[in-house]
Amino acid sequence: MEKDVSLRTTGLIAGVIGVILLIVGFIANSVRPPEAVVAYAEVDTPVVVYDPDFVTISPDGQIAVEGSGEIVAYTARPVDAEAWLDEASYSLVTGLPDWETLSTRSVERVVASPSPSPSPSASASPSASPSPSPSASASPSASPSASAAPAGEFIAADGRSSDLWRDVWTGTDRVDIPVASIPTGLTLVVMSADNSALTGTELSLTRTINDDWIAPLLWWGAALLLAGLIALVVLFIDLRPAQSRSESWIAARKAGAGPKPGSRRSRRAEGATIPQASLDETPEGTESPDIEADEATAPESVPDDAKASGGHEGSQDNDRGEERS
Amino acid sequence: MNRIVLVSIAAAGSAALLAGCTPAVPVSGAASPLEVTAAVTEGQQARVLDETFAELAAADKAKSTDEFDVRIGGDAKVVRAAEYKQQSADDGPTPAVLPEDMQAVYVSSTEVWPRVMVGVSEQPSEDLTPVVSVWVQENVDTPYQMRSWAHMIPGATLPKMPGPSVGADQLETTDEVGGTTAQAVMDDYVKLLKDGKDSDLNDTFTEDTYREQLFTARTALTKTAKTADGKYADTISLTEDDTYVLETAEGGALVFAPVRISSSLSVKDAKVSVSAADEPLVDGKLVDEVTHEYRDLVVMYIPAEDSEELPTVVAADHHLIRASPDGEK
Repeated sequence: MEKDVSLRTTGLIAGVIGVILLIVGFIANSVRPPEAVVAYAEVDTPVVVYDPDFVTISPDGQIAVEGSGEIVAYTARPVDAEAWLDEASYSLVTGLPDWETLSTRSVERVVASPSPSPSPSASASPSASPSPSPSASASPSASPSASAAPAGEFIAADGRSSDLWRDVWTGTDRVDIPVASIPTGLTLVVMSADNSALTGTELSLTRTINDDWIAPLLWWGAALLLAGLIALVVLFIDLRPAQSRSESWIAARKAGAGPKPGSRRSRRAEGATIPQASLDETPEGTESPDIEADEATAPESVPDDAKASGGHEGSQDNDRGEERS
Repeated sequence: MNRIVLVSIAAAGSAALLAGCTPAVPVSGAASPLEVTAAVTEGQQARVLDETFAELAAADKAKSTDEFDVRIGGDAKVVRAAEYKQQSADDGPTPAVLPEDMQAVYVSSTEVWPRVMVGVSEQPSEDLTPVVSVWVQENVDTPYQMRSWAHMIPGATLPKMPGPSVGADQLETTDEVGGTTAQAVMDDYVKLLKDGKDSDLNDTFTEDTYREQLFTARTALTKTAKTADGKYADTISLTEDDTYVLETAEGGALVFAPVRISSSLSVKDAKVSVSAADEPLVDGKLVDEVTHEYRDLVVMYIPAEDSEELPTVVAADHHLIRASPDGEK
């Protein structure tokens, strides 16, 4: 009886632990932060810059820049981008202070005249020769034109050359750039095509959370709770009648009538035992032939006593045979 | 009460567990090195070439350099303008064929400006050698612009250059290369051009058809002047600011040197004239004196110091741009 109570109590304790585990598991599951994170920063410059070291933060992530109108993103060698940015106002993304925020640093520049006027000297200088006819040919200028025409998707912003740009992405109001598609070691420069201020930039990240323990916790909690429920159900069921019947049956078995007449138990109770052969009755030196003769003539030559005894032996053999079966 | 305590403990435990399982904010690392260290990638080269030859095709069609907007300038624009003038005459020669397809493009790996890019074209025709063209980017805001071109010297071979993803070191003309400097080699070559084939310097350069052409012309004009009791003189000068040097793969150098030549012929009691093909380039009225002005490009190969080769002109063209009675304006 004490053993049954102990099992029942253990089951109830397991149920309580199961409830606690389930609560912890469900709360952990519900407050678990999302793995996909987007870090964001507002900007107010026409150019946003990500340097090649920073984008290593999220090699599988995605960079996006928002604004109005056409937005173009380029890559360039860091030294080239740096030279180009000397004449631009831009926001440099500098870090990730927390999972949801990008830090930026604004650099303001007074933009120089967008297109230095080329100076072809078209003047026809008078010839020093006696001939009065002026030269009709224009002296060609060796200075390069500073205005580069748009070439495909590469836009010459503010009339500046686009030859430094290596890769390009374009979008309207927003441009998305997978970090994996940015060649390693290059600076990412994102700008509005019309030099209007961009509004924000974001970097998507994948946050790896070690939450593998939550599911096992829930399963264990459920299992322990089930055990506790079983113990609780058992607590409310009156088992005493069944126990009484069981105990009576056991007692009856123990204190019941004698063995059935003719059964082995009854024969044992009567004192019937296996007959003991007397070694003294066997003549010395005739052991083997007597045995052989006895075996050969057993059905006819065995005396009544011996028959009875033999019959008993046969019965015993039969009993053994029964036992075997 | 017990329930509240239980839930609170569970919540606190969950929060603590999750706090321990949430990783820290990542920090940036060092980016991998550049895959293409050359100043321009093959994609950038292709853009420059495509735009250059699109401009050239438009200008050839219009027979005017007004179409040269971005990609062609400098001596290339001047020379092409002269060719269009010559073409405009009756039976005038067609402008030089500059093939768009390139056998090789040599790019610089420099991080400063100006930068140079060189294209070696396919052979324009059976009787013409490939064209070596030079593009220059003055600064980050200006586009690569074709500045000059020259046909390869027959039989000449261009040296091996670093691969397009690496780019060649762009040297200053005063940097030591091949045991000398590009400046010294070009000065010697210009001196040889001035002195003629009897110069001691003649044996310090491999023979080339460019200087042979100059020497032959000088001999003919000198003889003409002598016959007409006149004079012949020429001036040859390097435009050092527009000279660029790329280091070869073996440690030598390719020098791209614009050369300006002015040759003046004067006669007495006679009248000078120019060939019919050059007539459109005459600027002024020619009487007894004429000055021809040329904008040439000489591409000189300076072998590495341990090489037994001599400096060799591998490409050069002699481009007449103007003929006038009074010389250079």
